[in-house]
Amino acid sequence: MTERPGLLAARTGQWVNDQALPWRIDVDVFMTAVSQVSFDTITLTGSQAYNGRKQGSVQNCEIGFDVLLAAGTWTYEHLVQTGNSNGIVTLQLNGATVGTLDTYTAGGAFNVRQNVAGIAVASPGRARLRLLMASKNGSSAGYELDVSHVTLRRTS
Amino acid sequence: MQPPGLVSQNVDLNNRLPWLVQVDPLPTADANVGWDTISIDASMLNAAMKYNQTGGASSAIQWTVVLGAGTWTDELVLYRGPDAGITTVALDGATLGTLDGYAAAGTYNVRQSIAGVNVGTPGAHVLKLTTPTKNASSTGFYCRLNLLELRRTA
Repeated sequence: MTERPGLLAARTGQWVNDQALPWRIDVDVFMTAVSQVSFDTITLTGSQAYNGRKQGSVQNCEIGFDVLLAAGTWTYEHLVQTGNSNGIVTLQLNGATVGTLDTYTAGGAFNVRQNVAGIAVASPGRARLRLLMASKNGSSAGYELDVSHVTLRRTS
Repeated sequence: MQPPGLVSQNVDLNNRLPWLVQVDPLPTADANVGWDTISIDASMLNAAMKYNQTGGASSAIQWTVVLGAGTWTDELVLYRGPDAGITTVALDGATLGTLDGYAAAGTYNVRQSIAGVNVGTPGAHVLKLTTPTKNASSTGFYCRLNLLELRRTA
């Protein structure tokens, strides 16, 4: 007979109970991240949600957050400022690339939401979410990333 | 009769769930009807609001939240004004209560709450806001939302 996973969790205390994990994780980017490379500058403005943004501006700058994810399908979303010197951010989960988002626009805009859907998480537990500024649009003048908020939303 | 193992499973789950669940409305919600516009206002909490851009009675927004079994208070931080509607708050399709956003003069960062919300089963639940009605003095059905919080009290 197959033991129910929940019973196994209650007995061993080692299994992360999937039902207890949230379907939505908001990451406040302004606090010190668990890891970062040249990505720790806070700029306040009157034009952005959350009163400002955290900024990285050189190639291969990066910022990482540890998040506790349930198994399932997730959507990553960030709220950023786009502009003519902004780069393409590569999203990684535990070192595996799950998508890229181009934050370049010629005119620039505040409070733009971009997302990567269909991110499969096979096992519940801690995961390192990494935003890496590795590349850029051919028209962009730089590798800037201006992020005000990050959300992970479970969809199934 | 429920097997003892299943009882312990539910107790174990309930003990692991948080007593405070905050929903930031600015990121994209799990679902919405005419309720996805972000507007910047430096006088507001987080310097922004998410509002039902059509201002219509059919607008809706919802999130999936993981709640423990118990008694909860649902609190909204919003902007009250002369064109605001009455927001209906529902959990899993059952109405918890209503919050009247109307005020003759605009007021920022007002907290309104519904207490005594009973959650019978721990796990994922759907929290939904709609604005089907309005105060007779109001000129619209707007709901300008800054933050939403669920606070377990028992």
